[in-house]
Amino acid sequence: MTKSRKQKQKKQDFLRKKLKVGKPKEKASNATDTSFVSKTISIRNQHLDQNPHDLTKRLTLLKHHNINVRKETLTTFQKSIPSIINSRLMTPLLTQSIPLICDESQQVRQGLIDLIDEIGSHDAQILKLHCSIFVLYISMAMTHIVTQIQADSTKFLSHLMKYCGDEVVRKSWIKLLNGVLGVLGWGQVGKNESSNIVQTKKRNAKYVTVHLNTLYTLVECGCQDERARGDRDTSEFVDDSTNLRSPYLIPDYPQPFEHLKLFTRELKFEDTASNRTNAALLSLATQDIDTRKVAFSEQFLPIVRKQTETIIKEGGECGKSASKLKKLLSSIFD
Amino acid sequence: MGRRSRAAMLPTNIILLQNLVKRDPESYQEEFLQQYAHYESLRDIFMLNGLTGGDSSATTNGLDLGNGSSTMAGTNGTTISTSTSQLVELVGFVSQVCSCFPRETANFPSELKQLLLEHHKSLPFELKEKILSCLTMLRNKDVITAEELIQSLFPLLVAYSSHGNSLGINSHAKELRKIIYSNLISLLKSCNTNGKNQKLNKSTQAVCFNLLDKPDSQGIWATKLTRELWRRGIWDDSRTVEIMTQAALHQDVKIVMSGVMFFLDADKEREENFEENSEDEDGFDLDALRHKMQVNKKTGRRGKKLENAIKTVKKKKKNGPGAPQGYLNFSAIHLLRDPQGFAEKLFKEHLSGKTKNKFDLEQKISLMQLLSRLIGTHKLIVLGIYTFFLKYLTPKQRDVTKIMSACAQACHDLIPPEVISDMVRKIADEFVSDGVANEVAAAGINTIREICSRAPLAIDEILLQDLVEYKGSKAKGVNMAAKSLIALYRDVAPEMLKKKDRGKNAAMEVQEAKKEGKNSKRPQFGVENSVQGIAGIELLAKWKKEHGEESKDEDADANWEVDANSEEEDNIEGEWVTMDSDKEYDVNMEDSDEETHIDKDKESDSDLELSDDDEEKEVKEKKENVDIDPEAAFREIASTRILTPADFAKLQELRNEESVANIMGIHKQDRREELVDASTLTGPIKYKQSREERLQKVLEGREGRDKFGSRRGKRDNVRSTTNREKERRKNFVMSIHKRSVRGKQKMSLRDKQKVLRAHITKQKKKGY
Repeated sequence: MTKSRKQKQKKQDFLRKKLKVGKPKEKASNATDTSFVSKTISIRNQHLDQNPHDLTKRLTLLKHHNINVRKETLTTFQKSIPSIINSRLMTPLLTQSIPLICDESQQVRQGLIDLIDEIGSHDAQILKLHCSIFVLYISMAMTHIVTQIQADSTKFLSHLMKYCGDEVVRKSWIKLLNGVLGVLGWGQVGKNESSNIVQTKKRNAKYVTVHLNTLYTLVECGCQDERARGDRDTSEFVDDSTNLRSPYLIPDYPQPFEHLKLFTRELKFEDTASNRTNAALLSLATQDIDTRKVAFSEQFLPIVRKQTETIIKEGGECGKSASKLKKLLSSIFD
Repeated sequence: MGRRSRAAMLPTNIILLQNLVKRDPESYQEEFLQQYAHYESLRDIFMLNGLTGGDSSATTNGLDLGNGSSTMAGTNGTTISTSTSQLVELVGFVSQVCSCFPRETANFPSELKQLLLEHHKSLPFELKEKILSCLTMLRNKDVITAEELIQSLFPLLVAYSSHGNSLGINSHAKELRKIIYSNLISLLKSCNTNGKNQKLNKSTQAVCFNLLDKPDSQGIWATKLTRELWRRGIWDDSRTVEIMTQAALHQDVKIVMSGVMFFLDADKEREENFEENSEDEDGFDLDALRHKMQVNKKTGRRGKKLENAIKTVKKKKKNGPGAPQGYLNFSAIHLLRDPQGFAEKLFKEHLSGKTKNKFDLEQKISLMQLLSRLIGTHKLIVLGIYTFFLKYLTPKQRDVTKIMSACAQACHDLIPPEVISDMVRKIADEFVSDGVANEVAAAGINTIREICSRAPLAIDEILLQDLVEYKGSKAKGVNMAAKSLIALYRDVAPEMLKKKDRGKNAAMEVQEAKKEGKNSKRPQFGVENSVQGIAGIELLAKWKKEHGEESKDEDADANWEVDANSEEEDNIEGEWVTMDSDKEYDVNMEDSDEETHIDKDKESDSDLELSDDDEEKEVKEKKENVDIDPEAAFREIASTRILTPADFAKLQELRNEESVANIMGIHKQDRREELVDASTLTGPIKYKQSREERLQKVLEGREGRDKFGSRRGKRDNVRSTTNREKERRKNFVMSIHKRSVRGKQKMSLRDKQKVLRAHITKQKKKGY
């Protein structure tokens, strides 16, 4: 009797395939074809870690999502500042870390302040070079919607002022004044105060003190000439002849002609003068003390005086700072 | 109190703040200003470093310690992404609420525009997208005008359509183009919804013109935009057509083809577009029409055909409520400002000049189609094209039927016949001979017929008679083609046919003409026979004649007031009208007089008092061909009576009916705008089907006929074999010796028959 086809097939499955000489071994029925065709084959470079203590790699960690990592990185850099202060690493370090001014975490911000202090104590020139970015980010933080970041922004400013106050006021006098007054809630529009200012003012006077102190240093730097400040010994040497000669000498600060805005990218404004005086002021070059003084007295003096009076009445820490500020103002403008 | 409650809702994110500001802009002004300042500083940061990878990558290159660069690049990317998302958010916020603070944000739109226009190469895609949508939003809020928006959109569109390496790999050019393009379209659409915004249209069209002025391929956007807007019926004026004219004369092949396809297809596209949108009810009395048609001939198929025809008529006539306001349903070719100049330039620059080789055959064919359609529609004279066609008229030529249809369309009666006759001669030589395939011969004859229907003088008698000989061909296509040629010349110039081909009516006509000794109505070059007066008036005349007796007593007033007060007055007012009805009555009398005249004529054929018109009419009546010379009809009706609104309504109805008839292939009239369908030129071709095809057809026919088919092998439920089946499968040798089987052989024939019959009925009853 003949077996059915099915049975035959079944049997065949269990037969051993004979190997033949000179012929390749037959492939299994379930073999997967893994060959492929491609024009180029790219092989990843092997990273052999040459320098395990290479700090450049840690720069990326400044963007890490974890708060602790960011803070740790900042402290690492802070520790290694003495060794790298003169290296090429400083520029990327600063450009990467400055955006942390707007970081959500208070610890990270504190770490950044410490880092700035460290850098400043070693070489203030480096901070001066990055002053413009600093100012941009600080002014951004001053208008940040998160109250904590906003409140901390003046800290950064005051720490920056310590090392390159001159540079800061020369470059962005009006902008920073606007920002600080905004943080204090002494709005220019004057109709009503912004709601979060209302809250912070009541709750923590500590911040207000910091703001006021920052304002004090700002005004001091901006409107008082060096001799009056008396914090430098150079004032003894300065006589009238140097003052006369100084315009013709090489200036002692970087990019003296920056205010001419020859090489900056900027959006053009069509009708600045027509709608806002403030905007016009923003574009004003505030290179010398007199201009700054005039700008301040025209734009900000009345409101600052009014507000300081009220704070002095309230007393406390804030009152002290406010009265200090008041004295300074009267010494400069009266 | 108010302050406290406000402070309770402390805005902690932008979205919340946006909501608050929108509700109460006054109280949240301070917050808004703060955020605006935030936006400004972010923007400045962006301008300073985030904008280009250039700055920071320069610093990295400076740094480049061993393998540092790759990591730095990575960092750079993330920087951009975080600050970008913030900026995107803020830009959205400011543009949402900036209508609340117009004074403070006066610069904002221009800033956005500058960012987009000047720095678009370095902006990340998300930001560009956001700025685009924000600008559109600002337009919707009327902060910026539509012109401004268009002026900032167009340069971008052009910038991102350039091919090559100028754009980076990740520039998202395609997506951006898509966004910008759709924005443009929707903008123009929304601006034109309530009445046309002519100012905007003009300025945009000017931009299109400028784009097309440049020699590069950027003009493709102008054509694309124009075509889309034409399709939607937003632009429908001659300026639009002028843009496409310029495109069609451009140097770039793509743009040229876009322009050409616009003229060839755009109207169809537009109609389709509107058909989708609207399905409105009839403009004429559909039911009455159907009734009339069905009374004439009663077949279901015909009824269906009629219905379809009515549908298409409706589609064709559509320009009613579905279309936007002020929508003109002129086709693009009709709106041309200088058709002759356009056609000449098109021919000179694209088909005959030095640059002719830049088009491939298909493109050339579309160019030919456009040219021929232009020539046919406007009766232009571009003599070069006929010799140009000669080159392509060979049976081996690819797509020759399309070229032949273009040939036919390019002919009209104002072209000197000798120019066309060359072409006809060439077609006859190449296509129509005994040595070629049936389809080829059919195509040749059909093309010649199409040409001759437009320019009857293009063929000489000898050639015509030669071609006519093909009526005896065995091939159906050739046969039909030759017969249709005969039919055409019976109508147009029967003298040119041989006597036996003329047919009864035509022959009689010729005879009569000879008898009278006057010139036959053979067409002559340059003598135009155009329709004057009112279109379709001959239909009315005919109808009047048919219904003359019944409607004679109809009162005039009712005719003047069609819809207003219809039936009651019809009944009542019949008697007491005096003045008007008097006049009307006279006219009607004349009508009926004519009627009687004609009746008389039928009896006595040679009545010499008759006018020419009547004679013609009589001849055609005999032919039973429903045709009355429109000119004569116009003269007759217009001179004798004043047409009432009722007459016009009837006229409209009759015209509808006629166009239905036209579609049904009963007869055709004006050939000028009619297109020659290339696929019909060859006639019906029937190739032998393969087995699969045949089987498929058979199976198709069986679908849904289960009831009638055999049920064999289709028993549904599972079961064991029946006794009957067992019996049937039993071995033949075993059963052959049975007595019952053996006895069958000895049965008488009659018994056998009986048994068989009984068996059959039994089986049928069982359902096998």
